[in-house]
Amino acid sequence: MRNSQHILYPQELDSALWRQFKSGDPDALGELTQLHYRALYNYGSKFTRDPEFIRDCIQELFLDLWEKRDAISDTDFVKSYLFKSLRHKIFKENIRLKRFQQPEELSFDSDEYTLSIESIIIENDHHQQQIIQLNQIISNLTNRQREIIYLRFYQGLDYEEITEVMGLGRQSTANLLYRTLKEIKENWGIVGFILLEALFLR
Amino acid sequence: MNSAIADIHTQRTLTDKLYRFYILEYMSDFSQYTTEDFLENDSFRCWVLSPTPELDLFWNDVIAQNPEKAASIKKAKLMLTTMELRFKETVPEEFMQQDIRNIVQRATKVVSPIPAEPAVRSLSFNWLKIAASVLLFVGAGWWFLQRDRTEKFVVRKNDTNAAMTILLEDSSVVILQKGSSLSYQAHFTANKREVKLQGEAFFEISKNPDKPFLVYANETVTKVWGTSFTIRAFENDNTVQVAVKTGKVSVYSLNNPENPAIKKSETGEVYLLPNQQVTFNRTEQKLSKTVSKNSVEAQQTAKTELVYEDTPVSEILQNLEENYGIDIIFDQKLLSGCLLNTQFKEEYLNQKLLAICKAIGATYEITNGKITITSKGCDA
Repeated sequence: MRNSQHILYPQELDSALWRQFKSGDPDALGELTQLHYRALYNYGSKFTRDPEFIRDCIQELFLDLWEKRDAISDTDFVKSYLFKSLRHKIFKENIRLKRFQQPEELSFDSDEYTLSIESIIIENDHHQQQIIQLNQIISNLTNRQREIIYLRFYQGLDYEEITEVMGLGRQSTANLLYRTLKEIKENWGIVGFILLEALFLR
Repeated sequence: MNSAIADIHTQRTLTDKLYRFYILEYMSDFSQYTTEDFLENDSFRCWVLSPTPELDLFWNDVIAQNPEKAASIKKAKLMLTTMELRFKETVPEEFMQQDIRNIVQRATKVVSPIPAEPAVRSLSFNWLKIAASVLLFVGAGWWFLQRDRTEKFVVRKNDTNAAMTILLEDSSVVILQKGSSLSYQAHFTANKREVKLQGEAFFEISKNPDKPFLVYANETVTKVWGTSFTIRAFENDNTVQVAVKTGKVSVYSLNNPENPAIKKSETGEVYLLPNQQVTFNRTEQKLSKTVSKNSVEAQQTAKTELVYEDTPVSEILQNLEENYGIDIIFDQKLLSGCLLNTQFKEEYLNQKLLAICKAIGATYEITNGKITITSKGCDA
């Protein structure tokens, strides 16, 4: 299994752990952190390139939750709850530290990304080209578009969870995802799809 | 639903969960799928991002049966691969562990004056409620079943000098050490699986989210949904030890060993992850958690990786028979004509059996501790 960033685990265990955490068990706090740390770090890294900042935010996030554990409700969506809280925390901290000018918009993974060819160990050259092209298409999306495909396909959150994390309405979430996929498909289609069809539909 | 962790624990539960997908997707019709549909499919995403032998088996089969979908599948695969390359970002393990320790330390300092007191109380209260409803439920269920057949309890005692393998009807495997005994219902009830252990055994429990598996050992109860672990609970020992190999289990103690289902005043509940171990001190009635240091060997079954290339299914089944020490009944001649490419690593017995059966269009059944494979054979 490759160094996976997206892993599934039984939701019922997560909910059970959450309840135990709420009842004040420090072991449950440790396990909850262990379970979600990597995903949260990965998500945080999309908003800022400063690893220390992300680590601080994650620690504060869990300590805040611990302190007000009596006031927070039971949830079956622990992961999206944590994601939402982290997003909010990074946003707030950024404003406090005056890190960005336009507080209305969080930039999401917006650095110009060049995937190094060596990092792509894929079956053939043709696929490498495709991946480089797709990566460029993703770079050209808006921050929100990038975030939604990241949450849906990379972190595997469902619509309801994305709605919670991004603070969008249900319909807007569905529309945004639909538009984004359409855009990717159209841009990719210009060169990519033609080559691809030729290759695979012989 | 998903999360990003690379530790063994989740790697394990990943396989469990995927396994469930595998069964769910079994029924799906992929002929109408678009690229987006594949992208939206959890099982598909997991196959691309973190494949397992079962998922390989399954999705290669889907591709073979829906050749017209090759292009859509390829596009969806490329999309996911690109995201994987672009989005992956990891934190060094030692930083993560340091932060987690830091969080727990800072959290416990704040509450130190009255540490676990309220937690235990509210837990007990919850358990009381749960106990009451479970009791009601079990009582009702028992009465219901009682009308049809009398409860059959099976007791197996290992008087031999070697370990004894017991196969339960849910295809869970128990390896009973010498001088130990296990009692269990011949047929598990509708909502849970319960066994009682005296001595030491390794358990490989088949996944069933609707039916938790409970092991009663002296004053402790170990509750799991689908994992592998060892329990050591000899009657004359002062401790009960539980060590986890894969998955996650919860352990709690019962103050009244005679009537565990009624008196639910536990001294706490402990969750265990792989390579963790809990020791229950019977005099102090206390649970304490440690990292397994082989005092109880969590790993007991032969877990060597097995790779089969164009191997007759009959041979694979014979290997399983030897590895698990379980009888498998099948048509030797018929199944030697079925060739299979597969790889087994950490899968549980039922996962292996399902994978084999799915590949050759066979079914399996467990009766009286034996596995019977029913197949029409393969046309070469």
